[in-house]
Amino acid sequence: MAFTISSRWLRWLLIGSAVLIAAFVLLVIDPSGALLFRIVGLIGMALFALSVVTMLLTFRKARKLSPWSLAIGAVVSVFCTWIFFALAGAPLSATAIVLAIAAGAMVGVGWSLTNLLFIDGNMVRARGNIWFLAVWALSLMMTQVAALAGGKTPYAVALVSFLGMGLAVGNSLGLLARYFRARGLPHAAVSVTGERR
Amino acid sequence: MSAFCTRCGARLSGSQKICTSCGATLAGSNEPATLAEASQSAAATPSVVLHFGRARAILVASLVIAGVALAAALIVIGPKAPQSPPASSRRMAPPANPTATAVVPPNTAIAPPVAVAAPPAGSGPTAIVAKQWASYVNYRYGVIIEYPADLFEIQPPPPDNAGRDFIADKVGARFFVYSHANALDASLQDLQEEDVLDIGDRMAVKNNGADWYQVTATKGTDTILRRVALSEGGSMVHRLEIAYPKAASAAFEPIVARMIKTFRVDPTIPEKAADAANAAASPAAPTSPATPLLPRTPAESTAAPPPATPSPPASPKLWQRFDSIALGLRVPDYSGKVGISAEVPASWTYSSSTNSDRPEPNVIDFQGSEAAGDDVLHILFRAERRGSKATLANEAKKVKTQLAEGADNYRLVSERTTQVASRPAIVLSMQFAGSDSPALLREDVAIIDTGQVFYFVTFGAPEARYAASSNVFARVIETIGFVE
Repeated sequence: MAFTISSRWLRWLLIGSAVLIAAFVLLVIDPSGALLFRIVGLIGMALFALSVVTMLLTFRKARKLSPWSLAIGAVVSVFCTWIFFALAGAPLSATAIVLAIAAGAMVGVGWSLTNLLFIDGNMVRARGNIWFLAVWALSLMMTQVAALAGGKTPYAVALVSFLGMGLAVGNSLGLLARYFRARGLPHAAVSVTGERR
Repeated sequence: MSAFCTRCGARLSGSQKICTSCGATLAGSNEPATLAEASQSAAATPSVVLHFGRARAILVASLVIAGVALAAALIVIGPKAPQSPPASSRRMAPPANPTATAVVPPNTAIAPPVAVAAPPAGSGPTAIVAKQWASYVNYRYGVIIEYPADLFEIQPPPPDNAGRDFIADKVGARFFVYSHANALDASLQDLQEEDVLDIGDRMAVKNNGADWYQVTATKGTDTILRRVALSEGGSMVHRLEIAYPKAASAAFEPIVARMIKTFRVDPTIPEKAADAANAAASPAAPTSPATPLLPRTPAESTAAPPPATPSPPASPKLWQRFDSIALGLRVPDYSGKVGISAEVPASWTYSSSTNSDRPEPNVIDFQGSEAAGDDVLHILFRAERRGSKATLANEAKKVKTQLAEGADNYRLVSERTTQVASRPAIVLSMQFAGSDSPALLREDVAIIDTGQVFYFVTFGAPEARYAASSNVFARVIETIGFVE
């Protein structure tokens, strides 16, 4: 049986290889890694700016909801945070951790409620509105302000991490609940988000 | 059916009832019956209503506001970041009077006392209270820091009075202030990278200034803040390290912030101390008392007296210079010149390996008298004839391999190619676990290439005592000389 790689996978393979080679070259130029991490930081800032622009341009665009991707998103967020703090140690008390997760989850659930869900054929789709954009901006601001106000101390880093985790989990679980509620409705194009009028 | 969405302009297929781009209901949908089935109420018009209702808006707003308020409360309640750089960027006079230190109450208007009752995990109900602040002044190097004297207990001074340890046993915290020469002329960046590796926390937070840097990291259950300031154009290194339980971060961070804010080097202090000492020793000394180094404010006169400061030993000789020729150092089967000389602490004892079961005539060892076993401090000098194809890099590799294979938890903290006494050298700093106990040990090795002979200078210390005693290795490297 011939082994073939689809053009899509080939493209990602090439991109991944190029990134690894570039990282290797940067490490050869500066073995301390300072140059590599500086460039990674700049790329991160550029991607952050790009993500803001993308969100502003596409938040109204309908996207397919998948229970698996929502669940995986939540699980990955919890897993990564857990791994990070299991290795690095969390400089927060258990109460502070719970409160930070709860704060993030409240915003996350609120954000999930701003999605406008509708059924299209066999799919559940969601699209954003101005509330969606506003809560997204607020959540972004919340984590950035927390990081700035905390002054990059281990406490602030941990706080922002747990806030982010709570937000991801709250949003995913909120959307999951609404997804299953939508699937339970009669098979038709019905909004399960807004009020009927 | 329109070919394009009238709302967003997206291209549509013939059977679509909803625009998958914007979610809008398509005008002219020809399947109203299907939509009607969806509604169990006749009053409910079967259509996609993308209206964000008032009730939902209130719910979303409530959740978001509550979440943001809770996050804001956590930020406000949480500790503030330590921020200020050390005050000194000026040149400091050379050490003038290496004998005195003092602990005095602070003399300037400063923040009110910090009193926080947030005990660290596992430390019982002990409150972390910092009401009585005092200043520690090292007159030899002109280092000053304010610290809560009711929390930390000052420890006896080391023989060379290079700094001091402070311990708060009840709350599991400690800090130290030490100064030493930058014998290897390491840059600020090199020192910082070594500190990050030394602590072993890749997520350490680093802050820098023109002549200082700071590393905040976690190690086990502790938070470690290490602040280093350079003076005399980078030739002197002043270290402050504060360690406290992570669980008590909220209580400690305001205390730590004040401590690092007051940690500074004042180049006038050693000069004033020397002047005061000279004036006191002079027969024509005036009867009036010398100007106090740190004048007291009226408020301080009513304050409780600071804890008594143990005086450093009055030994006039802190360092002794040894000569390997007098001690009988020789390299077997080598007739060339072999000789090394350096200053080691005067209180350390020479231990000749020729008295042991396996005599090594090419080794000279000095040991600190403060402890024994794995806890001992020692510095060892070894001379070896150069092999036919030996290079400095190969010798360094051999040292690293030997330790990596023979010890647990081996870690290379730093490796630097430099010059020692104008000879090419490689200086390694390594960490590993002891053979008899899991306690971490530290070993600094300088491998010096003098042509026909390689000299290995090894400084060993328990990791817990390394920072406070690393000035010994710096002094040896600074004063070392070889026979020509």
